[in-house]
Amino acid sequence: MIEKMIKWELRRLFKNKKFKIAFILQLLVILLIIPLFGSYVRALEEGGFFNLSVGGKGYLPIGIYSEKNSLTDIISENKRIEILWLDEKKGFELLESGRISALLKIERDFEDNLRSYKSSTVKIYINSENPKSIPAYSELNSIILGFRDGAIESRISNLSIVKPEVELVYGPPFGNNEIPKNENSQGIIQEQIQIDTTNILTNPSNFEEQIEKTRKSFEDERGGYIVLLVLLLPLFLSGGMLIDLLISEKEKKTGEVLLALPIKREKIFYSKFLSIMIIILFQLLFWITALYYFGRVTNPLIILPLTITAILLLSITGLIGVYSKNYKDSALIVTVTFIVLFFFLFGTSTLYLVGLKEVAAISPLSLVIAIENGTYSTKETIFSILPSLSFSLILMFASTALYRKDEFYFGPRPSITQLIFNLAGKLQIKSRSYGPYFIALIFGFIAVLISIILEIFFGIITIYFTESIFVILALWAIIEELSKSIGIFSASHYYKLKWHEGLMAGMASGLGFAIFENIMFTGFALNIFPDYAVRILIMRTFLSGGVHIVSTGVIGVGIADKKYLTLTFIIGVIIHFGYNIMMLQGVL
Amino acid sequence: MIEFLNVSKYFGRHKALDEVTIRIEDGATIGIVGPNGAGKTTLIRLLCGILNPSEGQILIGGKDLQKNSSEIKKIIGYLPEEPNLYERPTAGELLEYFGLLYGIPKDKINQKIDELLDLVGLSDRKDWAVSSFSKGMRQRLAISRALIHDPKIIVFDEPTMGLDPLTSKKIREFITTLKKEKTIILCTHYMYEAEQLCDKIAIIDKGKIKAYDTVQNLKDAYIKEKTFRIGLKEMKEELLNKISLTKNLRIEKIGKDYIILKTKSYKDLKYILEEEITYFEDLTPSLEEVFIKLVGSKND
Repeated sequence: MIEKMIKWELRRLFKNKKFKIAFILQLLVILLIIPLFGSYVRALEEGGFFNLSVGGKGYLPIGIYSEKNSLTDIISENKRIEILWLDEKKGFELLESGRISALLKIERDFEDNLRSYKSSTVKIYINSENPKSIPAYSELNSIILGFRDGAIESRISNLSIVKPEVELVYGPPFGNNEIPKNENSQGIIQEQIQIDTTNILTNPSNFEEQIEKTRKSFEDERGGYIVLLVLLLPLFLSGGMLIDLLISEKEKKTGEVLLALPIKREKIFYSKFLSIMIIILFQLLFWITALYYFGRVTNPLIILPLTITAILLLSITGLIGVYSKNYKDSALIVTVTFIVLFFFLFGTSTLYLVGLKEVAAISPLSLVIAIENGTYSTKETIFSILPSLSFSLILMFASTALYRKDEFYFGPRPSITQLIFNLAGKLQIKSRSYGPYFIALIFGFIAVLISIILEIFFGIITIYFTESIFVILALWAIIEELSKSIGIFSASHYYKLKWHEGLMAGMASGLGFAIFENIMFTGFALNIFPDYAVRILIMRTFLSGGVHIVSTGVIGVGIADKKYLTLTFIIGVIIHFGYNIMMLQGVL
Repeated sequence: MIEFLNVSKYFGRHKALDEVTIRIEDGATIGIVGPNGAGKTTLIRLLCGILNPSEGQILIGGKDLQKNSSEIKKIIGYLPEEPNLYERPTAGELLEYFGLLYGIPKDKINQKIDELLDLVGLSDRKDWAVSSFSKGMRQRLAISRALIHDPKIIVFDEPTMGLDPLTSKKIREFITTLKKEKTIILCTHYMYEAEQLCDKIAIIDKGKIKAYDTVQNLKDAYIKEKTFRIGLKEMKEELLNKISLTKNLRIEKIGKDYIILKTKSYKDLKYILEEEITYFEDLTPSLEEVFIKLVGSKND
């Protein structure tokens, strides 16, 4: 039966003018985006991408007192920097007069030292009275150390070169050219960066060959990244089509007749989901074959993580389609969701490129890059696929559960709060002695999943605006306490809780959260540091378990007795945040 | 037999149907009438398995509709208030799709489509896109969609709503032809339509069944006196005296060559009809009067 419905949906789609136009537009956009995206990656490579400050070529004139070498070559590629080749005396004159923003003094044997894994010093002189000196230092520092530029770092790291030591000299006055190290007198700042000399490869026999190899490796990553964006577009378009299929049945009321058919309601949902999935697979096959033919894709296996991404996207849009009353209703939710999803997929793959591979691996799109680079492993594959697939299955289950309900077709649509309370109602047990705590405990488990999603999303945004780990830890404490509170609110909806029952319900929610979170952490630990897994489990059981129980217990009192809600919530968050800080500082 | 046993349906906090109990015999044609928002559509959507009851049970042929939904839905044909047709396919494609979903073998489906389109007068439009159809044509196509699987029970929700008199008449005639073989549930606003087509009428208001009986019994129950105008060839004094002496017979008006009488039973008219009469007209209020009497005052 379902295959007939899929065939019908496909036929409907291909007869639809909207679909045809969207399909052609998508082809045009994809073709246009390849060169545009090439520029983006080049910007990433040149180091200016993450500095969104003003300034074109020549905005930061800097003097270099050195011979030309590979480092000056890289600096000269930077779009904002203009290089003036100067001797030392002239350099200080110009720096003092503000004609140049910084003076770079590179050791004479800089390149030879690097090749033979010796530390090499680069000094950056800046003028404290010149406002351009700080961005100039920032640019140069980021290029030299490769801290803020994954592309250059990868180039330097892959060349097996030790990182250069940077000395910042802050003036004026610049009378004495050789300023002694570690001097703390006014006007001079010295910055020493420790050199990581571990895991240095053997000296490459052919330096030029190594450079070429590194360049090729970067090109490969770039290729993988372009593939990502090209293939993301049809996925997003198809997500919109699924919403259209689901909502058009409500708006045009054709769904009413479908509901009268002798088929299960979920099959109607699945027929639409699978029709779009077929279109996506067809498009992916088309693009991958084309890109493979033109040499932009090296491994067609990328279809696996892309299919997982498609399932994730469709399960989210499917839920939106089921939940929304009409197109108008869905438009805002879809826009927000697409931004969040794009942010997540694109953000994680960017993180992958700049070297944060362990964090980025949670996204299936990181696996696309890994497959393209030939660096994927079974563990990485499982780690990239499992979270998305599990999340998709949960969403699909939720979508079909909602699709079976009359309210989602004929109204009035229940609010999210009502749905949460309905779920809690299903967990309701007769015994009042256990009922609230059972609901809170189960919602504690669910709170872990809610927290993970919110923490990733808000974490990435926070990192973008502020790099303060304290802000992120505070934010995570708030998110986790809010997520755990859902269970207590749900319990208090069905059982009128007294303060001590609120405390117990809060503790139950905290316990549920801690159990699930610790299982997850132990799972990760088993993967990454198997020798420490048991220790981590024991430590977390007593420390984080205790904190979750106490902090949410306090909030539970406030939920039971509403007049203390704000106060108890603040106290709960402070307890949680305090624990996070202590963990970070290594106190515990 | 269709049985609604204490069926209630809530939409949020609103109780759209309130403990409805009704039994519909096989082969009967039942009219569901009631004011807007009375619960008519909810009742028939429940019957078609489109909605699930919040409380109570619906049995069809002794089987629980919710538990045997797929099996029972195969014997129900549903015509919604609006045709709700997909626009892009042709009439033939649309009927083929629904036919296949109802499990009609592929080799028989084309013959069935031709028969139905012929029946509703659309045989020459089989390959036309639905989007090119007029309102009346869409309604007729929707009827053929409801009949594609030859259902035993057919549910019509306002089948003539918004149609021109000629198309409405054709649809009523078509329903009359179906009456011989099918159980028909007809939800309508038009009392004359219900009166003309239905064996029994259920009057529903505010989610409750106010009355459920044959048209005649409803009239008998809710209209205490019947009114007749009888044309007489000769106005005899003797006859008028006899009428005024008859217990349950009352003269409303005496005209030049006619009288208007009110009575509780036809039997009382027996001796008058033995006279030489020129015409006989039943002025007894219609089903509409019954309807207004039952639900009108509260809804005013």
